[in-house]
Amino acid sequence: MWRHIIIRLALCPVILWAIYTITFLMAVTIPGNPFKMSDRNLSPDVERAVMAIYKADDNWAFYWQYLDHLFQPVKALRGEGPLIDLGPSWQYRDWTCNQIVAAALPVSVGLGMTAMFLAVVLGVPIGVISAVKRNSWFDYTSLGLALIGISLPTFVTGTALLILFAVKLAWLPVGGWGGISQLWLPAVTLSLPFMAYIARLTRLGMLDVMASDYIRTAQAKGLPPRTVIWKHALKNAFLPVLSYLGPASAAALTGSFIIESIFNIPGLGQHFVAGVLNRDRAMILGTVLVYSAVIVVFNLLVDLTYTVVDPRIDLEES
Amino acid sequence: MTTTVGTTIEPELTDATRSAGSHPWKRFWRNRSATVSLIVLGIIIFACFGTLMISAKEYHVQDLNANRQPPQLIPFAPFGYDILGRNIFWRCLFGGVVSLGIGLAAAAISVIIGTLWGAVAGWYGGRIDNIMMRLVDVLYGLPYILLIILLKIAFEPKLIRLLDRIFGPGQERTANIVILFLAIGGVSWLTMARVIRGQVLSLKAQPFIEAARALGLPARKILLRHLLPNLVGPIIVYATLTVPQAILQESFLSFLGIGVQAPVPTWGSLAAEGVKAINTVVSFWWMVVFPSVLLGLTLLCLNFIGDGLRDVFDPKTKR
Repeated sequence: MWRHIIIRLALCPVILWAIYTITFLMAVTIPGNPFKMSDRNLSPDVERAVMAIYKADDNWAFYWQYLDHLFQPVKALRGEGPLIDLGPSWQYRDWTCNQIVAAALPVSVGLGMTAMFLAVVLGVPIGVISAVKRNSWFDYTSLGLALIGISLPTFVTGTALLILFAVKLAWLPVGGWGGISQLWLPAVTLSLPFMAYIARLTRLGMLDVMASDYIRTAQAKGLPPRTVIWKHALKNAFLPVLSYLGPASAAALTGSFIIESIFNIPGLGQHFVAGVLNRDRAMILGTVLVYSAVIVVFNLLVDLTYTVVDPRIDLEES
Repeated sequence: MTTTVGTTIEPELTDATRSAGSHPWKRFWRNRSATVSLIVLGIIIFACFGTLMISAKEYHVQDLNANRQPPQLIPFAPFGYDILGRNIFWRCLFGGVVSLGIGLAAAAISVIIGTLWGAVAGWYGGRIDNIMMRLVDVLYGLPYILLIILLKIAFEPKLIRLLDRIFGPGQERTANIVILFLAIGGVSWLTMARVIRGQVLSLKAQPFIEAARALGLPARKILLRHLLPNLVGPIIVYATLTVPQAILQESFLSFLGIGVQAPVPTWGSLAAEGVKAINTVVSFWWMVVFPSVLLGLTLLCLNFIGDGLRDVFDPKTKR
């Protein structure tokens, strides 16, 4: 168990390095750079000098320098700089990527986590009730709603919710960031597809589990149905949901930039899109690395929780 | 359970004993939602592709006098007009062709790459498998929407140059759509590769493959003649489920303004245009509702059909 955790942890930097390299290779292919697109009409000499400072003139020098500066435990211990240095932004010359990410990441993470929380807290009970009351009106209604959640792009559902709750009913603010009231609409919109999928996974899992022998035993020994369903059955039916949570959380985090754009939320997604459109290589690498780090850690956490929930699963073998 | 005719004639074919090859399609037709979905999807596809001759001419015609006019039958505009006075009905039909085309192309790419990748990794196993699947893991770690955006922006100019050299100048629009196919297809093969690899691993251990090997058949023949037919099921299922994913991803790109180029519509870009046209004073609901309903209905049908197909090819899953 511990050996496995250590191996997995040691692999994380390797995975991130591979992601860094892939992203770098693609970012290099994008033609143009913000130094040349400047409307200030710099003289060629000045332009060359500026590009040399940012290592924009030599791709591989940039690659190694960025990698070298990325993780600096020694400097951080001495208090001379940040532990992780994403470098200066190419487009916003007065900002470092660290500052931009530090301002935007908590917003994206907060939104994503709230959405995932809503998705689990609402999706799992919906799935359980749908399974227990199979083919009832509740089952069909929730299935219908779930399918709408999966089948419509979030910018449509988001706008619909926005019009209904913020404009027509005026219960909630239209957009912005800062208060709990501003969190509701974007979080619900973001959670819909995940909630739908979790509800369906839970329903399928419950239908499978409820037919098994140990549930019949639990019922036969006279346990109240509530205990059987929510304690005995759900524990096993939850496993597929658990393995879905890793990729889902990652998707909630990275998919949030559509939502951020609808509700005017200052999250990380806009910086990535702007980074690509501005050819801001440092920003592209910085955002991708941050996103990927979160995804890698999430996948790891989910794998580890798996062994806690189901001790039969032996990670060493798989 | 309701149709008992089949069970009385063939009592030995219970769910548990039915093999993948025996009357699998009966299971599909008994699935009412999948059957209805197939019919609805058929109608949508027929409407989009059948009117292509007209819609290809009409989709970009602007009539500025008609801008933002609500749905009406005379002149024929049942879905109304958009901001530039273009007939949304024709735009929806033509956009359907493009959207479905993107979905199908992405599915085809993911089938080709995913199947090959997964089959090779699963078949050869060992170090090759390890390296190939670690690469899939790494790509899984990359946020896929970011990957699509990067792929599209990075390789679009290169593709334009390439196509210009082959077909002569003026290939921007073709290149734009092709790069969308490639970018979306290029990220959607990962799940397929994992599924196929798992399938190959479990098939490899089965006696009939062992027998084929013992008979001395070359690997290529075993792969094509014995493995591939058994992989058709999961390939079809996941390809069906890739199509709606791809259509949805294109709509996100359109919303961000990096999807299909301006006059060419897709359902996603039409819905995105409609969403952006909404303001608090007047809601031009027809600009959002019609493309969204078509998009949602198609995705719904594809998901239902995918589920139905899964029941056909994987008799073990209970519903």
